Amino acid sequence: MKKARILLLILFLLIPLTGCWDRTEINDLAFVVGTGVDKGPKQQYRFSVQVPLPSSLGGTGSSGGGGGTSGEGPFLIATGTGRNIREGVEDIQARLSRKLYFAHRRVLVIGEDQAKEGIREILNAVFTQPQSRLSTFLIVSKGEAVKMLKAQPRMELSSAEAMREMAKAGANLTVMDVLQNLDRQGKSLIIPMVEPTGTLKKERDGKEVLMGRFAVFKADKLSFFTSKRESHGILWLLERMKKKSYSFSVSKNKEMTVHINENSVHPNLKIVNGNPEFAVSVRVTGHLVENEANLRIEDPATYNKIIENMEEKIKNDIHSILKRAHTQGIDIYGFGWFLFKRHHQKWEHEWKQNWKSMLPHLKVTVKVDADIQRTTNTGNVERN
Amino acid sequence: MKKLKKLKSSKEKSLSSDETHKEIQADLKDNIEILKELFQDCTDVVFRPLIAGNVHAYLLFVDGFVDTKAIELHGLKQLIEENEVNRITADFLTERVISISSVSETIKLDDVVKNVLKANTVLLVDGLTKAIIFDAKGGERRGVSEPTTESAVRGPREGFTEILRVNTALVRHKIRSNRLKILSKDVGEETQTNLAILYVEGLAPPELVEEVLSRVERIKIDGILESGYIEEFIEDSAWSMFPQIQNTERPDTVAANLLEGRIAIIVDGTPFVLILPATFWQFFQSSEDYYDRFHIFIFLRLLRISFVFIAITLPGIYVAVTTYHQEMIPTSLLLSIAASREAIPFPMFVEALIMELAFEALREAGIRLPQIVGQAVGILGALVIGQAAVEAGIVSAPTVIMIALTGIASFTIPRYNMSISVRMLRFPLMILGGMFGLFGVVLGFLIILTHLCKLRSFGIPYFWPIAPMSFKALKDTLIRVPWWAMNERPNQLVKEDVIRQADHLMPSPPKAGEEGSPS
Repeated sequence: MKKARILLLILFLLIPLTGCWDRTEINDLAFVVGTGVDKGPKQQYRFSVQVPLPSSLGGTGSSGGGGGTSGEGPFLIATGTGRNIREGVEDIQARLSRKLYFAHRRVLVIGEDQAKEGIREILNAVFTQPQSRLSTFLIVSKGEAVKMLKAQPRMELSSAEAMREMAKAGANLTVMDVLQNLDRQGKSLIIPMVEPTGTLKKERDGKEVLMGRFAVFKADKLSFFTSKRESHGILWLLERMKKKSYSFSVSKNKEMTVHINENSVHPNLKIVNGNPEFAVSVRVTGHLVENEANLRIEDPATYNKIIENMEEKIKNDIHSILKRAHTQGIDIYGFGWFLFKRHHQKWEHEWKQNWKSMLPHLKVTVKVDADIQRTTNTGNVERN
Repeated sequence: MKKLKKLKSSKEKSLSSDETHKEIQADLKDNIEILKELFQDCTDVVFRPLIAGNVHAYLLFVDGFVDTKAIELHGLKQLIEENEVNRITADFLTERVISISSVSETIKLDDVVKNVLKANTVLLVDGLTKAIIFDAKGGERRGVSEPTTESAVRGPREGFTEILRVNTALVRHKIRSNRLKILSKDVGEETQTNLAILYVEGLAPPELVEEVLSRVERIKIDGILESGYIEEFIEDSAWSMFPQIQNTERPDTVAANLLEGRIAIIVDGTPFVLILPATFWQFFQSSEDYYDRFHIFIFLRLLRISFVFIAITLPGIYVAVTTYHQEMIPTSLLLSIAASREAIPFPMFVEALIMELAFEALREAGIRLPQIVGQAVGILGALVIGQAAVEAGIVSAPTVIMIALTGIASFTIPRYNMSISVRMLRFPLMILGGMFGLFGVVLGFLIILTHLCKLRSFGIPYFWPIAPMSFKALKDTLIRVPWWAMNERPNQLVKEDVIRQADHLMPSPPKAGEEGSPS
């Protein structure tokens, strides 16, 4: 009896902790899958959300799918302005019947103009609220972020989902990685960049999304967007070229394409006259997928020539991004971070203060060791 | 209390009146008079008068209980044709006249009454102060057939019947050892139900046998109609939802348990035999586990245990996660749940409750109805609840899937009594989930777990061998190791004589140099 009474007491103690009054039904929530932050007028933020509309997702019993044809996808885009992010959210909330719920945000897109102003404040504001996930992907858009949310890629339900999948397959940098890199000494931010595109000419302005290039930051401010070649360099350095195709020319107008299977980077430090010098060795293997020139790759002489071309191109890719970044004082690979870890005392006392001015003169040599394996499955057996 | 008094007074009327305590009189007429009064309005009791030589006699039996052919051939005919008047004594009758194997004598009238009701035949002879009882049991009873509640693909096809003696014989067929002891007890003032308590001497702890006997002797009741009565009287925690005594219809299950030192109670009139003490894990084992390839049963036992977890907690978790912790559901799944719930008018908890209750009702209807109607119920349920309710927007499709999964999970438990307690427990967990979210579900689950760890069945911890942990016994709990690795009996019950089989029984090709190896 006494036990039962104690048990009952414990059960009653439960009630003030939580209870059915905290209950929120699924159809009282607006699940935000993507948010965008743009620069608004008068030092304000323009905050936009993308919310899928359950009623037009076509569940059984509901009014059925569709909605895509009228130009608006099965989701809702709402924007609000405010002096800070929270105000922007409240501005949107005031116009919505359902409570905004950010736990399912897939991507956070930051507009180009806002990125130039700095992103630290936004990240802090967005990711200190408990609903946010650190596994969200951070993306910088060329132009306005809201435009990216409005895009309607045909493949996925919403552009947020599409951007997430692309970011995952690309550099795979989440907000957590970005926040970590932001506070690391001697390492700058690289964030994937999206731009609107389209297959037809009239759709060029925002039907599909394209993600292939990167936004390079100096501290928390956007510095420049990389070119295609520089983007390749970044992917090589991030060891993210795996499972991607890479083409290089072997003779005039003839290319060879390789599917990359292995991509690893090892920086080697040498200190000459008290100054650090880096030798970056890159190991690449891949298998042949396209042989336009129809070269006999089994022949060692030909093979060596091909490999030489490939290594040269990879080296150029890496050098191009390193050079552009280093001249602007941006440590894109994180050589400084490497020194911070390996030679901490010297980093603290000698290099840390004038690292930015040292960067343009930092000597970096790149050594690429490439191999093409499984050369026979090109499907083309005709040989000269 | 009132009822008890009533019971006592009625008992006095029937059995302990002065008349029946009397010994049998030499005068047959007096005896018959008393007996006829006792069996007044019992039209099935037959008083067959006869004259053996020139002595009057009566045969008493219950019609339908006895093999009338046997009585005619080995009793009636012999008695009527008996002419040697002087030699009619009890010994002479049993030794020379009645050619039936089981014969005994009594001098008490109440013994006569008891034996008549126990399907024996009683012969009262004028001038004798003894009654001769002989066993000519017969009548129509259900024969040995396949057990319907515990079907197996592989294993013996015979199941217990309603007749106690047939049941004990079925067990004796499996264990032909003089160490198999069968104690007998009569319980029930009116029904006089015969119980048989089976154990293997030397394996079952003697104090356990004594404890069982003393618990059975405690029972004072008018009638025992099924072994479930006994179960409720002798179990340890009467209020617990979990069964603490296993029941089975299969003689092989009983035999296997006896060999592990457990005790079986067979109750006359029911094919369900009690096995005790029982542990929690025993209810997730079927006899077939031991008969077919062990690999699949390692998998199946783990599957059953994990599905029990699903059967108890899934509705609670589903309700909790969808109403409190939407962040825990993968985004695309959440969106499809949201899409299908868009038109549903009820909160998630109410929706799940409606479906659970509908499912339970459907199940109950299916069990109680005749089989042909039962099929109709199945179709009705599948169509109305499975499809129409979803299309009408009363419940959402994910909820139906969740309920179906929970239902299937509860069907994977091989023992029906465990299955029903598990099914009941998901309701409190669902309510807790609806009120307090995952916090409530975890708390409810912990309460259940604590209760399970606290339970005991005849001194054996219910959660043994997980809590308290016994590594040796684990080989036959969540998994089942092959037979050649099960060298010892479970050590919780059997203290001595633990070795079940010889060592190194695993089949392997003979080593070089050994006898029988190819040269």
